[in-house]
Amino acid sequence: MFTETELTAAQMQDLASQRPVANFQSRFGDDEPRKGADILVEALEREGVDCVFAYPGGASMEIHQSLTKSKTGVRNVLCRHEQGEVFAAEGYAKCTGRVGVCVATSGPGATNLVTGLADALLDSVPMVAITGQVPRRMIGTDAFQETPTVEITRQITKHNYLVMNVEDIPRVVREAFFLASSGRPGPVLIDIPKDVQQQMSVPYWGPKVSLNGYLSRLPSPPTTAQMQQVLDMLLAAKKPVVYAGGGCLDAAPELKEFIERTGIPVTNTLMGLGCYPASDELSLDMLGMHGAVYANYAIDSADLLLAFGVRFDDRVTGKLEAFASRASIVHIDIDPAEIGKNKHAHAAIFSNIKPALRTLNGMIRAGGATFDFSDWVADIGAQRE
Amino acid sequence: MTAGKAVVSTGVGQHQMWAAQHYKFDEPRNWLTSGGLGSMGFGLPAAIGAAAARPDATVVDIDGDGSFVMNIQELATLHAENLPVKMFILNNQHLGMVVQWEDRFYGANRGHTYLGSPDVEYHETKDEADIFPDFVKICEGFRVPAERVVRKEDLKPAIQRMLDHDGPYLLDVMFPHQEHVLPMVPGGGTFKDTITTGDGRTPELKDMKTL
Repeated sequence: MFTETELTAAQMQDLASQRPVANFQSRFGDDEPRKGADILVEALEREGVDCVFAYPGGASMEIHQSLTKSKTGVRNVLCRHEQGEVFAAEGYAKCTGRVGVCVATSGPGATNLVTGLADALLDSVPMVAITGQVPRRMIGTDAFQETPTVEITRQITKHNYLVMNVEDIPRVVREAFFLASSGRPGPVLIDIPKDVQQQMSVPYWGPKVSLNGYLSRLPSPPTTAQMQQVLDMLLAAKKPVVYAGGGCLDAAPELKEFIERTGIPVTNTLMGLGCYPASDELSLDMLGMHGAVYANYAIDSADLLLAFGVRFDDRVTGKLEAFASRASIVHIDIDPAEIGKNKHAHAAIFSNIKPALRTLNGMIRAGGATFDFSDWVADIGAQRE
Repeated sequence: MTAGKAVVSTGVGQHQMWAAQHYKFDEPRNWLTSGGLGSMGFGLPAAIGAAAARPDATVVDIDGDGSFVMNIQELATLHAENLPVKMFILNNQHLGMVVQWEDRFYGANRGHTYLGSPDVEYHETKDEADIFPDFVKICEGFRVPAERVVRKEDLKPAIQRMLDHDGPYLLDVMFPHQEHVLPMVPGGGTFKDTITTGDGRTPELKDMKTL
């Protein structure tokens, strides 16, 4: 949403601070002190969480006690290993697009989440992982079931938090959910010491997110001038191909319309399967190391490569110099770090693919441009034999 | 048999690639796989998350014998949480994808990629009693119905039984470890290096461009 409309800094901060559930009815009175763990669970309820994957332990049992009292009836699916629960949270997120939530205890509980966090980061899966931690006064003493979770997970999460103050819980949870689901999605970890979970406090749900740097670096929707560049390259091309990946999972209608208007063949990465219907005749199925020969042939022969929501991963490209070597490359991605990382982009558009394709489709519709790549499609079709 | 509408999760390896190549997805977010990290053991728990998220969907885990055993404890979750996940184990008694690379690039020298019983090898004896581990028996212990499929002609009816059953169900499907995922562009290779023929019955010592 943030990357689809033009917003001012103040508007962005306001929107980012809003919780999905409006007019929430707490089971506590407004001035009633309650435990940090109860504040945490209510924060999850206000985010619209209906299902968590949580495995209890000493440092997280307060959270489980609070979960059992949830008025909105948050369901816990009790997996039998924290790795099971973190992969389950990923499965939940991948098939719905919503933030997957998992909870583990300190020490071995947290370290068992590591593989899943790295997996979520590499596949850009929106996830919030909550881990118990030993009481604040014991941190750093090699306490029972203590591990420096924030240090361990720093490089395998989009962001992480160690909550040292019970009053921070409302803001931290909102920030975590916002970071997990905005821009390029990813896993965010919240480490909460047990004594913070037990501390009595009256929560204030008002504070705004404090993420000015991040908000200012989110992409705005692309301008007509930027997309005109892409349109010009399209009009000049004879052998274009669309290389679409995980970044297009929420832009399937826009992608379908684009292909309908242009007749360009589409190939998907492993992560992008399904973003364009495989049963359609313009689908070239998967490309890459174990991709279809006709898909890799199309890339190899193309004179224009439209890279939508992809990152030129080595399983797709093989030798970089030889990949799409005859093509000009248009790269549209929501993460600026990916643009130009592996392959030089002749036209680089830093944007969410959804508004980019919407703008482009609008321009093609308005300008009345028509395309005919049927010879090229037939050429690829001959390779299918 | 699922009309292309199932939610499919996988582990990592040959079975994952075959699932990606052969199941045609017309809509996004029905395909759950570990791509960037390529983490084995992903299939069953991811299917659990999907079954909890979308109770109306048919959720299928297409797994390998190596990947499945890594998070096998989650069979307990299926029974305890009543999640109707359908599971395939593409069982070749080996770590299939690594075996494929061994066949192509290392002259079929096995480097700890055999996952079956050390006393007998099922692919030699073809005796069902030699299949190791016995996933059907393990499922019984977790109160999840399961069947083994050894012959091609038995597969479709078994799948139908699995889909018709109300609740979780597992099919342990045996197949040869000499099968390779094709086509294959070797790591660091180019389109010209594409391999489209051969399998483990004719091992090679090809040049891998990079790891």
